[in-house]
Amino acid sequence: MDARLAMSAAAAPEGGPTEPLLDVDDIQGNAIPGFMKPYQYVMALRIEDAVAAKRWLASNAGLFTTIAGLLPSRLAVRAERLARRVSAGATEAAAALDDAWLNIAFSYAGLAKLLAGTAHESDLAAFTDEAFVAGLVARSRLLGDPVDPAAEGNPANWVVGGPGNEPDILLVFGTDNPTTQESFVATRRASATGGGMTVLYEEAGQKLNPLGQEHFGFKDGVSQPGPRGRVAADPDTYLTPRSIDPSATPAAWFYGLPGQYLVWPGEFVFGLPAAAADPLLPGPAEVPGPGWSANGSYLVFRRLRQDVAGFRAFVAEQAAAVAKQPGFSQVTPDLLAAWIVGRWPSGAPVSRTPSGDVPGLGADPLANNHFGYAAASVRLPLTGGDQDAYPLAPSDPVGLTCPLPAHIRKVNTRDAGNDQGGRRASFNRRVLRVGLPFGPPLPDNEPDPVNGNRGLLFLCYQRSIVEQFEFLNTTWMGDPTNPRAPSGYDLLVGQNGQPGDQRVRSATLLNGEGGTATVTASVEYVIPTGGGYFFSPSISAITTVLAAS
Amino acid sequence: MAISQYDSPGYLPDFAGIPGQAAAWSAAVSAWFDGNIELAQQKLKAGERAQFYNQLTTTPSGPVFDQAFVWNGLPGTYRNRYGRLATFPLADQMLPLTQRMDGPGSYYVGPQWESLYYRPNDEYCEWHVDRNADGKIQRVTFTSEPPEYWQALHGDTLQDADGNWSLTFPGDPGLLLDLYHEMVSPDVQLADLICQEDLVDLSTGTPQVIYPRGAYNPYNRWNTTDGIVHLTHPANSLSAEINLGAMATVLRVATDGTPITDPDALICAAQYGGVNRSSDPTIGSCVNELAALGFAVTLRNPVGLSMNHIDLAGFTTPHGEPVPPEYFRVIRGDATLGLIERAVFEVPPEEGYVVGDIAIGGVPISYGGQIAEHITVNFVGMAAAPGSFSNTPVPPQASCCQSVQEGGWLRYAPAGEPCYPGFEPAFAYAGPVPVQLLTAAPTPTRQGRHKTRVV
Repeated sequence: MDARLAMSAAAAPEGGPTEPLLDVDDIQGNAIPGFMKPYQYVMALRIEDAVAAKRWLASNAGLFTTIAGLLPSRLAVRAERLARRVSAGATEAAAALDDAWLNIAFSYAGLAKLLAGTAHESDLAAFTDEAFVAGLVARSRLLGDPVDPAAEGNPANWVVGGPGNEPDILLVFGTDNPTTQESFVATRRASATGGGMTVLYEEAGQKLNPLGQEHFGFKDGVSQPGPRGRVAADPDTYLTPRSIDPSATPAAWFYGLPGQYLVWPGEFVFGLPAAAADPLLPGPAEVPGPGWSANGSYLVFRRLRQDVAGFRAFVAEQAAAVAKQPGFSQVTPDLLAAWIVGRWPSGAPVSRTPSGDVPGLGADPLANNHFGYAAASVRLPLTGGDQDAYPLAPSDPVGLTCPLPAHIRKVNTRDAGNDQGGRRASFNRRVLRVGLPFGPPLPDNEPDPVNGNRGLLFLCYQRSIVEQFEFLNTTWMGDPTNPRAPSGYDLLVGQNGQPGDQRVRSATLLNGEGGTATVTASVEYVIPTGGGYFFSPSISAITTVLAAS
Repeated sequence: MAISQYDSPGYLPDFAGIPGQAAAWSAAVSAWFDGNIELAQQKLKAGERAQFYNQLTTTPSGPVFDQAFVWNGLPGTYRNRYGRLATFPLADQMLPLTQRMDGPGSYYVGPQWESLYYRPNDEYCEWHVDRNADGKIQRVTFTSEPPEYWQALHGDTLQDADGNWSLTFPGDPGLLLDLYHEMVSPDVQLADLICQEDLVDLSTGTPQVIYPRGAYNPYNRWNTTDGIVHLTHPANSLSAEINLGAMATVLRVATDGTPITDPDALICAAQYGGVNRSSDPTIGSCVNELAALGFAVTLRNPVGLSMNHIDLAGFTTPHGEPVPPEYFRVIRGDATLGLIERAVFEVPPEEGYVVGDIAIGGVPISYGGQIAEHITVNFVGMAAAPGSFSNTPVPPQASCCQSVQEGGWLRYAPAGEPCYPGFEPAFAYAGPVPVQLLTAAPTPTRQGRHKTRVV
């Protein structure tokens, strides 16, 4: 075992679940635990010559970064950030790195091109996820995307992934600096175009600032589920580090970082134990595809353009209107924006600091995700004697502290029951998000150099596109009542595709006296402008099936 | 604010023309509340008051919050056990009452029940599929109407929460028949709707008449195999929901004193409903969270189960157009209030195609459950006067076991025994004493609230 892996080991909470050994040399590393690099690049390819593409795959399979390939760097950065109580930013360990990582994923059509005429051609029928099979264009309306062909968000106008513009392959690059990225991408681009493929689209993404805020100004990616699993035979070597003192059971069995639920890895990677009713008991290990799809994962890509000025104007207008309602006079644009997100710009959760931002709380990985809604939070003993001294979150089932329609409540109900029954969705509807913003920040008081072309390269991994990514978008973010009512739409990124509703989204706010106020969004400030559904196979599947002649 | 009467579910209008019927319904609902308040009271420490209240007789002081408890229409019992895709065909197939949908066992025992059917749609939203000669779906009819409403319409006598046959209704069998004609078929005869003999359950040593001769038969063919009027799943009853609301106000602690707040562990400990459903664990935990904050809790008038809305985003006609919202026609109830009691999903005949030609996200509709997956069901609770209660939590009365092979499938543990073969204790970390050793109440085999008799 690598020495640095050993350093990552946390003492195993006695009596906790036994977690599976992950095939760290076979699973692509962006699926779990994710590249999480400050620079990202996506490149969409079309296979023009399947034979040449197979040859390219065969000769390049060693370039696709596995868990084992990225773990030493990830662990070093993670350990340093934890020690410094910061969840993002260029620490010394990060500054010393110069990694260049690459992962690959295929659309259903892309797999069909590669497997046509081979013994594996019929294997495609084993993929049971109807969204993956149909592709993103066919599912776009279900997600609430505009039906109007003239609308920017309609697939007809997407910069990639629309009809006739659907990629067969998506390459995802992760690097530590832009110079390395440039040369790394250029080399791979030349290689791919010489290997029977053409480039349909490519775009760079990067962290906008050390804090990891997205274009609307909020720290992103704070709440990620922690995949269970071990990376070495040593029983204590977990992929997701543990921070709760092992004596504090059952909390130590549930969480990686405080508030970060540990999720069975089969929710993200085929063929590993998935979530069951009891979060501490492993569910079946299923492969919802052909046998060779084990150790693979579905990858969703959505290019989301963000109209920053439009969002700010919406917040200002609605805050002024809400403040006029009885019992809501305290509402300012900053507060309303925090209610819409559920966090302040620093990442500090509204649940723990209802009145204003606390940057130290937002930055602290041992505190910024430690809260729930069903019951008041309790202080957890942390490993190494660390302390979380910030005020704890109260019980808030009604949404009097953090409103029910807040984005973070719409996509993750944490300890609270929801429309899917009990707490199971907190473990079996999660996705692992690995995207980064594209385009420069909107400058203040200066002309916009990119004319509004900025947003998020949304990327997420999961076991089922239908039951995870699409579920979150349709059943929760894009629904007026779910997962808890009275809520309303997710006013950050939810869409209303209900025929007849004219895409208007509204949400309900409550005050402590039982009074209500409604926030209504008639304009769209997050617009889908591209994407696709992909399958990210294991390295062995690439070499033995997809690249095989 | 106190109310003057309990209205019919979704403000259904049928009782208005029957002298005394509306008042009888209100009295029945009130009695169910009072009885269940008493049942909740019995769980509490002496001297403590139940947090569940009857809006007809009690007006808590302090702010009041409406809380709609929402859940998905696709049966979680199937989805959690078999997966989403396998659920679609299963949920369209009726089962005899001798076959439970949530595991081994029978709701009723005896040869009579083998030919009486229920819909395995246990989320208080059931549907009936009509297909054309080509086998394509022509129409899907959804209902959330409780059976008690129809028993009352017939003029049956229902049990109160203590099992006493005390809730009488004037009824109007003629109106009952008219409504069946309107909602199902002109061929319905009144005799089709009533029990021609006592329906007797033989599950215990003493035969028990569940539906006496002459009473309304909720499992009549026009409400099961040949049509749909109201809910049929043995757990889908209004009085059961009131019971769930009341029992969920009781706070629970593990044997080490730790509060049980995980919704799934909570229902396993309190045994107030179906553990694998989308509805019961969520309803129970939502109520319990409010109770833990010291709220007084009740169900808002009109007390009933209803569909809140359907999300038609992604439903596409064969011409590639969005499905007009009018295709989901609300027949009974009030859509503007989220109190839909009956709705039909159907294409107008002049369009020249049928429901089976419509696709959702590119997938043609082949089963009613594909539509139900887009329906949100609800009932509305009320929480009043936070901080006005601080009742003592009580220990678990039951526990659950999880299937090793089908990890989403829970069963209540058999009383005082280890888990069934192939199952392992679930949520056993809730306290230091292995939960399977707790004294568990027997798994309910039927819903007593369905019993009726004629006088």
